[in-house]
Amino acid sequence: MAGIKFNHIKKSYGNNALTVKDFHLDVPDKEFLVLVGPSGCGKSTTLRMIAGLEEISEGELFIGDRMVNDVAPKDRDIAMVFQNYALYPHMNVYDNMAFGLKLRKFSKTEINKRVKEAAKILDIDHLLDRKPKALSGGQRQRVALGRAIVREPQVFLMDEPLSNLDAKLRVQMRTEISKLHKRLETTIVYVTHDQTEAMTMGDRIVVMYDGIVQQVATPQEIYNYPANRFVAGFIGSPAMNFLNGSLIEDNQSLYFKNDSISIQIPEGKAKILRAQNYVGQEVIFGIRPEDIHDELIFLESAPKATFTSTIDVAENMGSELYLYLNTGENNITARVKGRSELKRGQNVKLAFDMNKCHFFDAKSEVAIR
Amino acid sequence: MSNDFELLVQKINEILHQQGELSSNHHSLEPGTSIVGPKSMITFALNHQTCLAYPVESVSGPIAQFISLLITMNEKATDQHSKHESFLLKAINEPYTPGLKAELEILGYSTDLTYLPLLINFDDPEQEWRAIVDDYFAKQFISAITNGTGYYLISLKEFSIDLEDKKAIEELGIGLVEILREEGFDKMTLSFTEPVNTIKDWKSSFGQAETIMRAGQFFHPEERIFFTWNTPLEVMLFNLPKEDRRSFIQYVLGAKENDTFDSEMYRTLKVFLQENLNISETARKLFIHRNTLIYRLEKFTAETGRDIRNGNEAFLVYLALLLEKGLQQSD
Repeated sequence: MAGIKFNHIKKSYGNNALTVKDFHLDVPDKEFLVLVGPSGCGKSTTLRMIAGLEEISEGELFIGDRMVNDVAPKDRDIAMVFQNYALYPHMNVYDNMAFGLKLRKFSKTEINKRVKEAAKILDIDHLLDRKPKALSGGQRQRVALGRAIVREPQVFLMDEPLSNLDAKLRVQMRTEISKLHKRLETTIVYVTHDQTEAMTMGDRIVVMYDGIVQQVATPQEIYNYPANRFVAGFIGSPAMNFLNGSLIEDNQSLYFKNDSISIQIPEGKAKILRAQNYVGQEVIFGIRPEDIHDELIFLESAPKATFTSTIDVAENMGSELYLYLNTGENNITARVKGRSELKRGQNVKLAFDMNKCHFFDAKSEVAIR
Repeated sequence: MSNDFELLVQKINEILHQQGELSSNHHSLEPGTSIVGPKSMITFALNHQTCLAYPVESVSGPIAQFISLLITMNEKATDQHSKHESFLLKAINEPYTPGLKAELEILGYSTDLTYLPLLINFDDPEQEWRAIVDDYFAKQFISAITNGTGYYLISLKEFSIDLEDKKAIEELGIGLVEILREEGFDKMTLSFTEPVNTIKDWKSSFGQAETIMRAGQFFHPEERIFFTWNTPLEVMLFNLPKEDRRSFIQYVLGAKENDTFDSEMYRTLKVFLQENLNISETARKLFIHRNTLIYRLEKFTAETGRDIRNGNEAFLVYLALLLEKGLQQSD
């Protein structure tokens, strides 16, 4: 078992701009680290640099105490799991799991012991004689995990391992991989574009965009205190609402205003914005859909944080209702309780929970705290 | 111990008459390990084929005959393999003659089978990847390996794959890439062409595989696998003269041509075209807000005068960016 240390890692291809820009992070032993971001953000490239499948253009990479920049992939003591859960088509499950060990010239007894143990952990010991084509998607994924487990590596690297599974199976395998992590007590670096996987599986999440680490934190911190507008918009579904406007001082109270909205900012947040000289400046106001309410208690307790709008679309999800609202300048999504009787075309008055709102610098898009 | 090994090598070379390339794992024995007795067999490789042998103390009489037998078997296997290799190389490099079909039958292959051509290029002088490819396709192929290049004609009979099902063939190929990566190999490129059912097509098929590989590596060096049916555009653009490529980029992108390759816009446009210019779907696929996408497209239009919300313009810009991507990587 080992941790990973990224020391100012950079990656570029040929003369092109950097694909990964200054990745600097310590991953402690046994951590489940999730790299998340949209396509092309550099997350898979980072994973492949750990595996040794991509050369590191600049910086140092350590697995445990060993610098591995020049260590061949097969000597790095890592195991990878990919999204297509590739298996040898003609080999049965046992041989598929044993093959990597045979290549490494392990004894038959040791191979047998490891394959049987891994099969038991993954609950596939009854499938050892089956060929891949006789397995379901989920079973194939378990065998692919088994191929990695038998190696007993210091680090597991997983590149979108669930993205080819159907939604139901994905949820099930998500839980199983988390359980597996607890049981194996090994460092896992997991790449996904799915924010739900990131939020539910990671001890810590690294949000990447355009080759840059945007934020590294626990799922809770990322959700509640996003470092910038990108992180705020990427994590959370439906995504956070963003409104452009200015901060105006009026009768000793601070307001966020644009052409269609005027909201009073609570004193605690106003103090921070004043201290950082944002009064009179343009900012981005961010609020999550679940922090917009239609209940009377909110409307009455914060009358200066309300707005009225027409419902463009109302999506009933059962336990909750998604309202897509048109406020003229901005589109707003609200997530209200499912029992709400609101319908398309109706005018509705809603209140922002201003204690949960976020402000971002209009130019740098960095969170103002 | 090393003295024993030298004597063993000398003895084997006597039998071999100095033919072939000899190596051994003898040096990997721990000091003090017995090399005599029932466990005294050690392995050596001859022309990359593993053989077994006894240590020098035992090399006499029947044991010498045993070694001799092993070597003969190895030579026969190597000879048989090289016959198949030279046949395949002839079939893909020389013009077709009817004699080739008869030759294929003599070698024990069915002339009625459909084969899937695969070209592999590896930067691995040790050729350790060969064992993985052999097992992945369960040795159901004719192959020829020259340096780092492997030509394979895979018999799909055993794979239960519908030859019309391109997705299944892609999965098979991508599976091999993933398995190779799991084992730590990545410096490779694979290209698959359409399945062939007559020996007449072997030559043109491997010619195509080579072109696809070159074009694929030129435009997408980050990718490891290419298929004929996914790369027609790349092949066509690859065949354009360099100056024509430059003038097309200049014509389409104007002032933006000299900037660093805009990988973000390239990705955006690729998805935008795939999604039939649908803003919401493209934004969803790219995991960006709809407004961010609109802003990105409008900014590009303002800089180039190309309205990429119009299908024709979007396609022209995509072609220009693809050409620029290839050119910048090759410069």
